[in-house]
Amino acid sequence: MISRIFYSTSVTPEGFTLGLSAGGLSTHPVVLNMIAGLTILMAALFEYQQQIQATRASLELRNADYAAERDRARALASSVTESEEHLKVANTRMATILDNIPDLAWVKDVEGRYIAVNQMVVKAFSVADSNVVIGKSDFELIPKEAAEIYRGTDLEVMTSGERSRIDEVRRDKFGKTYWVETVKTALRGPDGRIIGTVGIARDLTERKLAENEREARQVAEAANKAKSEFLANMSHEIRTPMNAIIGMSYLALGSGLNPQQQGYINNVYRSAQSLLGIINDILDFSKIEAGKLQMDSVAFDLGDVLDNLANIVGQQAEEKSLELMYVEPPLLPTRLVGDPLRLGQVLVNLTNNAVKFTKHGEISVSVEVVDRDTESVQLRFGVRDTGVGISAEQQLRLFQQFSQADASTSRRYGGSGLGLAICSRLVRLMGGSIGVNSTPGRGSHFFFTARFGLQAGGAPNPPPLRLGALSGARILVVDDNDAAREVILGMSLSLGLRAEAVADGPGAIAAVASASAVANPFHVVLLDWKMPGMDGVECARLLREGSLLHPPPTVLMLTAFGREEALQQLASRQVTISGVLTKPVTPSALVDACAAALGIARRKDTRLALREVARHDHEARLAGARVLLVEDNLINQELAVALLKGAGIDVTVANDGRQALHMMDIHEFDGVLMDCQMPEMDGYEATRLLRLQPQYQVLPIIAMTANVMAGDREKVIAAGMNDHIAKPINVEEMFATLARWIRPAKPAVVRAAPAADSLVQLGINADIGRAATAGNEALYRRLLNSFADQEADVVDRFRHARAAGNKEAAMRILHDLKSVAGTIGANEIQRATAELENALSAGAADEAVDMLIEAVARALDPVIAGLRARGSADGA
Amino acid sequence: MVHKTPAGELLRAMSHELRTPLNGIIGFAQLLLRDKTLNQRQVTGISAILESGDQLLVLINTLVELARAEAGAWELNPVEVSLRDWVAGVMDVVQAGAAQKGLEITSEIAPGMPESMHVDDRCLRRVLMNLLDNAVKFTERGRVVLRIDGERAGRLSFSVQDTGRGIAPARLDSIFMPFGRSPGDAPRVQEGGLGLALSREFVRLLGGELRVSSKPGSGSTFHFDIANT
Repeated sequence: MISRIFYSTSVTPEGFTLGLSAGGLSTHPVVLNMIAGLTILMAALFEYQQQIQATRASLELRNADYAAERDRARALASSVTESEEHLKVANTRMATILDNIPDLAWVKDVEGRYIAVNQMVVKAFSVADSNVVIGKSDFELIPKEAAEIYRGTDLEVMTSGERSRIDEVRRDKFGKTYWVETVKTALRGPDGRIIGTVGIARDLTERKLAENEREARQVAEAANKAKSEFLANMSHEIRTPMNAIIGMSYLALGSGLNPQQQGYINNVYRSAQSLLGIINDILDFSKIEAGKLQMDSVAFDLGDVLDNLANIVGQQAEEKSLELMYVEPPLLPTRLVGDPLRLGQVLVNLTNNAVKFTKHGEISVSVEVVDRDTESVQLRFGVRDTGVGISAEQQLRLFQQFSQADASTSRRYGGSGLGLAICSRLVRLMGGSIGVNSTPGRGSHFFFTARFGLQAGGAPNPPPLRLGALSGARILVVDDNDAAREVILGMSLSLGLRAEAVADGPGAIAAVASASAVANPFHVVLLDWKMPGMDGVECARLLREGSLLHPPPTVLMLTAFGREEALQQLASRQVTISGVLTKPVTPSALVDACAAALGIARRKDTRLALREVARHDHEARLAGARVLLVEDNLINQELAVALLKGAGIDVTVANDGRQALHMMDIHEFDGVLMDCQMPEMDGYEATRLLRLQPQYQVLPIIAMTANVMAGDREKVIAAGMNDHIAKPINVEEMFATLARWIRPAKPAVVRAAPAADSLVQLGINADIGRAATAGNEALYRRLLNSFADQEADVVDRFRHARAAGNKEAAMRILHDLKSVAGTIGANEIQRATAELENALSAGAADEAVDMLIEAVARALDPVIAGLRARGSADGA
Repeated sequence: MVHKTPAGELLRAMSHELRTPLNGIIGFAQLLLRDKTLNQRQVTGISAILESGDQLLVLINTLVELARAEAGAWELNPVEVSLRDWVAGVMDVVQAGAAQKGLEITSEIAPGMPESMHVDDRCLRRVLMNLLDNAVKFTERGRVVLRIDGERAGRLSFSVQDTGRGIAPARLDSIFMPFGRSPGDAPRVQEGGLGLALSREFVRLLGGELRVSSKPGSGSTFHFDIANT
């Protein structure tokens, strides 16, 4: 408004000091009114003054010349006095007004001399009172350059007779900047002649600063929005082909490739995973920097996070022959609320680093409770290695933001080099802090704290592992690595097992023998595979051959190496053991393995197995469902179709939202899998349109998108979709999400998998076998096949040994058969063999023994035959 | 202030780390495809891996190039080339695509233009190829013209004009942003929505500014001029 009334100009007398104090009314109309008032007032004042002067002049004249007129003159004088009184009152009134406005206000004559000023001007000039200023021009008060500028605008106003608004930026002697707005008006006398100027100046600094701040904020917000849009787009563009690569290699791995081809595809798969890791790091870091990373708050099991860590890092540790172990208290609260993925990310990162920078020795991952109340718990995690260590100087920079200098390190060791910077930020977001202690050459100890919620309604502690019949079992731990030995010994003791430990094979043999001699025999020997001198395999063989008063203890091989490699080694050296326990050993795995080895059935409830069951369950529930897949990318179409069909889902494909709407009119579907970003019509729009139709209001629509930015889930829900599956697709999660929402209208007749079916018919509990092989189906199949091969003649071998009078060998044969049968889940054979074994130990009569031998053969023969039939079917 | 690509610095520093696994993916996929014992399903799957790998490589290369150009970390390498021959070479490449859609594509060099130019051949080629490819992609009928003239002394002015669908005024600014072309918008160009952003940066490196004028429904013209050093 104002700029339309006044023409404006801008003056900037740099360095000029006026020392304005802050203040200012907020509305311009007030200023305008004030100026108008002042102008009228000043005009009146001038009128009075001129009247008075004129009156005085005439008075003096008349006084001198006409004494006779003195009386009249007196009367006149009194009128003058009256006028002067009026004037005084007007003057005081004006001064009061002027002094009470927060702006600088002044009146100058045509020569630029101050006629009147208010208190603000006095303050601005830093003088004692207005008399110092009155009668002086700017040239006598302020530097020449500034005075010239002011005089210039005064003259302009007087020449044009118009008002002028001047914006200027002033800087005081301390360098502080002020924005000042000045309005100048020509002052006219009663005859209309211009007789000076009136000015009012206002300090706009505060308002200006607020404006600047607002603008800066808007710019920053826009930039931030552009940034996160870019990241979302980049993430989408990268993940879409990544999804295809990872998914297709996953499918190819199960398509019957020969070993070399499998190897190639494995390389593709591993490269893709590593690429995804780096890309995730870059995106994560950028998201954190842009303040866009949000922590999840979901119920999770800490045990799952640790199991997953073992799966991911265990293999790498194994390849470098490093001991990886867990140190966790048995009563650790594990049912937590927080962000399991981010916690896992930090743990995997630190543990991966530990593996990367350690050549020999061990890595231990520890968890402990720092603090807990009824609702939350603060945990402290530690990752300790015996690696190269970190110098004090490096430690300082370790968690800092990525710098170019670090690129060379990451090049040498792989990865993005962003890991620790990301970890420290994630830990902060989890309400904790991260740190490191390290001695170069000795190793490093990374630790961090994090706070988690405790699941409401859940038991405050996990139910203690039920030892059952295992309670009080005697365990001997044999491991050359001090730390590993102590961890497993400690774990066994804390579980209530009666455990002892020795450091090598000969020690183990001596300990087993002396325990047997004092009638306190060991039931289980946990034997490390790779030990200097006598290795685990050799030790197991000798333990079996030693003559003891008691049945030889059951041997479990501890290995950080591949289960299969260990089993192969054992087979090639013809040593049979009861099972293999993979490091790092968790308490539940230890109990499971001991129970299985001793033939004590323990409810199979390992989380891995539960997950496996869950997946089969999900797929079974989805079988027969008719699903519309809406996806524009051909490769992803193919991938999703292959995965869905594999689960017995009837899939129809639409290339975009518009096509999907069209197909919905023609066919009936139990659910829709909807990509979000598509040409023609995107998934959000298609969903909105579908939801407008009454018949589709409850139809499950699940988004499938490569965007995994925080807030994406909210966005798809807001668009009316039910849930969200992120790409690259995690097969388990995908089926779990689908099963949560989609119910087939016509479920397929669920047929149990033929393989499992045939195992059940053979009396084999495949669940036990799968648990023993940690869900490794291929390994389990090989175990079954080798059982069929190796145990086919076991009854003959046993009879032979017995006939030859070699009781020891006979017992060993039975013992082996019992444990192997237990491992593969052949419960009947295991039971029959155990009975025979007991009968022999008890010195039963030959007839009884013969009957029991027959029982074993009866249990064994159909299993061998059945497995052989299956084996040849597999091979076809 | 130039819009800096977020994560640009990281991508630049990580380009080696990103390409290494990509090479693994592409290399092993190629190796597998040579194997004649694969069945049809396996070949299709592995071809998809290879295709996605190639796509990812182009995308990552372009992101890294963009970040390098933005950071000014791009060394120009000007060479002396014959203007006419060079333009003919560029036109040869785009001719086929245009012919497939039944479009006329021509180049016009204004009279009085110098015989040769001294430019960074790679940068300029990328820019023009991208603009011509886009013009062909977004034009259903009519023609695409590449014009070269020199209105100002010592400068070469390039323009690519099409008779395509044009660009809505509201979107004229955003088309130069990385991924600025919204996903709802027709199939992606090779660089996955980075082509114009990269072209703009390259033109800046060459000392010009890429601009566009467009009328929805009747076509777009992209133009820039650069110094003929």
